[in-house]
Amino acid sequence: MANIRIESVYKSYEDNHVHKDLNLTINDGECFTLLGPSGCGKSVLLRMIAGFEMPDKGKIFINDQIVADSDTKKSVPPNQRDLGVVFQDYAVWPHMSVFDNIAYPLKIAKQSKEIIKEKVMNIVHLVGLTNLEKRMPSQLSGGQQQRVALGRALIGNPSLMLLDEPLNNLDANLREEMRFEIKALQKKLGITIFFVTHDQEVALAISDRIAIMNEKGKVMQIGTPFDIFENPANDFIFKFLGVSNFLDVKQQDGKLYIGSQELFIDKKPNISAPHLVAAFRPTDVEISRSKGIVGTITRSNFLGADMDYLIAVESKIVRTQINTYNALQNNLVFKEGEKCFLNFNSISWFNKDTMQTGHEGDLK
Amino acid sequence: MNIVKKPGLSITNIILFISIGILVIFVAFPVLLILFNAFFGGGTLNVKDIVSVVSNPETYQALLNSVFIASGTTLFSTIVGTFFAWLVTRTDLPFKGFMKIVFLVPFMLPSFIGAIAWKMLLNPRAGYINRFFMDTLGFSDPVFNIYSYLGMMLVETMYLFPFVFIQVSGALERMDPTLEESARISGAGLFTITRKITIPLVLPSVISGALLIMLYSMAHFGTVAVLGMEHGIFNIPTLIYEKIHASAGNFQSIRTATVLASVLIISAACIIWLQRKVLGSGKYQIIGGKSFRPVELKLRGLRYPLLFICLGYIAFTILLPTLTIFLVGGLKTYGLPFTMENLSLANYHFVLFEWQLTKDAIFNSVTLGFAAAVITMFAGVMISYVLVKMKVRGKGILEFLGVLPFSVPGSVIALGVILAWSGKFGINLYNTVWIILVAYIARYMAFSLQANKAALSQVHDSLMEAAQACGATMGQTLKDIVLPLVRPGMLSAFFLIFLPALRELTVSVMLYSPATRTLGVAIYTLNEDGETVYSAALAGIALIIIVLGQLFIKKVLGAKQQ
Repeated sequence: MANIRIESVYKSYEDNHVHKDLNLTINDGECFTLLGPSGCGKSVLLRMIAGFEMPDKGKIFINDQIVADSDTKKSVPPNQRDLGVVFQDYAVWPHMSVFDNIAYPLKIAKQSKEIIKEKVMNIVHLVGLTNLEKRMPSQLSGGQQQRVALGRALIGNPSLMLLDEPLNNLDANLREEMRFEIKALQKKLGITIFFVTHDQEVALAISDRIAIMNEKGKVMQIGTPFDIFENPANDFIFKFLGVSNFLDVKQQDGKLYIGSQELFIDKKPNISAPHLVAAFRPTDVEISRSKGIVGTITRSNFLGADMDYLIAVESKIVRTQINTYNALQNNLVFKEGEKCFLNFNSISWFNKDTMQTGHEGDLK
Repeated sequence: MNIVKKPGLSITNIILFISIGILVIFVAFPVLLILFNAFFGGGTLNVKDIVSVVSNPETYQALLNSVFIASGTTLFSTIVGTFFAWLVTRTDLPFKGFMKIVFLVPFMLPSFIGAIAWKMLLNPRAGYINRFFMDTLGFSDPVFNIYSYLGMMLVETMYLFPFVFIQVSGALERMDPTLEESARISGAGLFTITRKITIPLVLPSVISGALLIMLYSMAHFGTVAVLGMEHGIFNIPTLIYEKIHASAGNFQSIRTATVLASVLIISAACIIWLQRKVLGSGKYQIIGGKSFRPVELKLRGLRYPLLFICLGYIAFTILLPTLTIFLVGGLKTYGLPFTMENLSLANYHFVLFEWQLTKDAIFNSVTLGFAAAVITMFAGVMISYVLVKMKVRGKGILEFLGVLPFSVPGSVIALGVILAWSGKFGINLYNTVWIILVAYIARYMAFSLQANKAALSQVHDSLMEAAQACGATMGQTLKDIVLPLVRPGMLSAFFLIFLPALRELTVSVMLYSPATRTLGVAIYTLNEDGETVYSAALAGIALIIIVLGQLFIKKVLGAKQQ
């Protein structure tokens, strides 16, 4: 069992400060995802936890034991940290068969041939590579190589697994399948997983907790997937989690205005500032022909199951989606140039000056 | 988990120090000694002295000759190489695949053996071709005198043009044909496309190949030694050889030799720098790694005439000299006509099994080549590992040192090891076989670095990190992951060194003693001493060994790649 503690870690490459005063705690037995745009330093952090890189400043603890300490320049080498790592490019050794790849950690640990054989075959079944154990990596598909990498990381029975964008190179179907498999394995084996990705869908689906990093390597919010999706701490997180719309809203005498039109909504914002930004997803907009905020359809697209509209609202453009069936039933199929009315089911409110939410304490 | 201290004298640092040490001792130190001797010969910087050495007519003439011969060779090789490259990549010449391989054959033929053959063919009085024209066809004068600047340029061109051929045909093959197609769609004719699109895109490769030839020819010993020396034509390497051999130990001779060598070092450095700049320029980027099928020019009626020109060129430059070597090697006495009663295998038998001198030479070359190849292969893999894989402070020094072997010509290395290992610094290897080994290691380090760096850069860092994450130590990672993956690179490094070392002349001719003749030295000295038939027989045997070796590599490396 393992937890990870990152204490005021600094890391830079020449003039590029990747991490400044980074603090994180990953609890024992959870699947923790670090989500952020490419180049934000997620992988650097993973590599520091694994021991491939040394922090310039700060301390890293695994299972409450210090593994990297910049003060004493002490660092536990990767091979003594008891962890499994799955790399973005799988890093399956091309000169070894599936069996030998997966067996390698046990061979290093000098286990007997019989034990190795038994354990490897168990893992081979577990990751779904039955009957492929004699193949060479060049004879495997990307997804199968991915499983080899996963099996190799699992076989040493590590208490901690580090996964660096392991699903990136897979096609969409396989990616979906693998993310549930990883989650299922984690539940079954009770290990701690530290998962790094820039794919918000994977992160939301797989994680117990998510930390979102901005491109400067700063952690913006930590929370459960639901918490983060419903209460994003700022506009960056909101944008990062999906297609987003933003409208400027004025707050005056307890009333809300978009331009000159008054906005009626059940749940009032808990920010007192006069200038707000309303953020919402395309599916959070209810389009109608009778009442609401007035807009003009500027583009109408039929996407099959959904209708996709671009609507001009008070000089801003809003993107909405409505179920095609629903649209047909309720006469909500619009042509370009037609007038429509908008209502909002769910809005995330940001202070226009800070682009932060009103409620503090999201940033743990 | 036990805590391990990282900095300090770790394995990483030890490997770095050893790598730097190898390059310093074998390459940098000898080169520095040459430069030091040239510029600070009397203990202080003495420009006047250098000027007087350079302005000595003999030295001055050698410098001019080197530049003149190299320029001519470069010009001819570039024309020939580019033309053939274009023929085999961009036209519908018949048997293109076969011709592409045939044009690489000249690489196998050592140019000093080629020069010996041409001397037999085009000696103004005794050459077989000249004699045929004079005796049979009644010409009053020889048709060509091989002992001339033009003769040397042409002989060097015959065996050096593949440098340009390889670079240019590679570039022409990899060039994205859409670049030319879009010009064609824009309305440009084939001539305009060639002038405005193709030539500018291939120019960096042409220039790079030409620069390689320039570098090689300026520092080239064999051809000038065989064809120029006895008629008073010296270039830089042959004059260095003359100075060292004629008066070993004489201060003024060594002084002259070091100044000449310094000129070679400096021009080599400039050429290498220029070449990297040309290849590194943006234009080259357009040539991708993929293989496309470019538009082919229809040669129509010229298809077969051009094929015959190609075949004729190969027959004239490769087959004819090779055949001459083998035939002369079979003659009882040099000068006799090639009739059945004059030809036998007796000379071959004699040099292979009876004559101690030639037997020793073959043995020396094989053992020296093998030892140099093994040592250089392992040293190269270690140095490449530091260069490609390690993140360690002080790597910059190694990167600089790593470029050095590429830019130090053979005669410079030979002079350098004489200065370094003749007892002046406590170790005297002069006149032993060890000094040749040391020089070979320095000379062939570049090949080993190139092959091993290429192999290592294929081994992605994550493959090694994965092993460490699996609990493997650095040593286990190297043994289980890195070594098996770079083995093909090491093997090709071995052969890239072993085969050229077998026929090496430039370095060993300056370092040999009567007991340490190499194959190249034996062929060369026998020829100089007038033992022409034995020299030719030995050259024939060398050619057979080289060809067998090449076939063996093809087989071994070809099998490995599957």
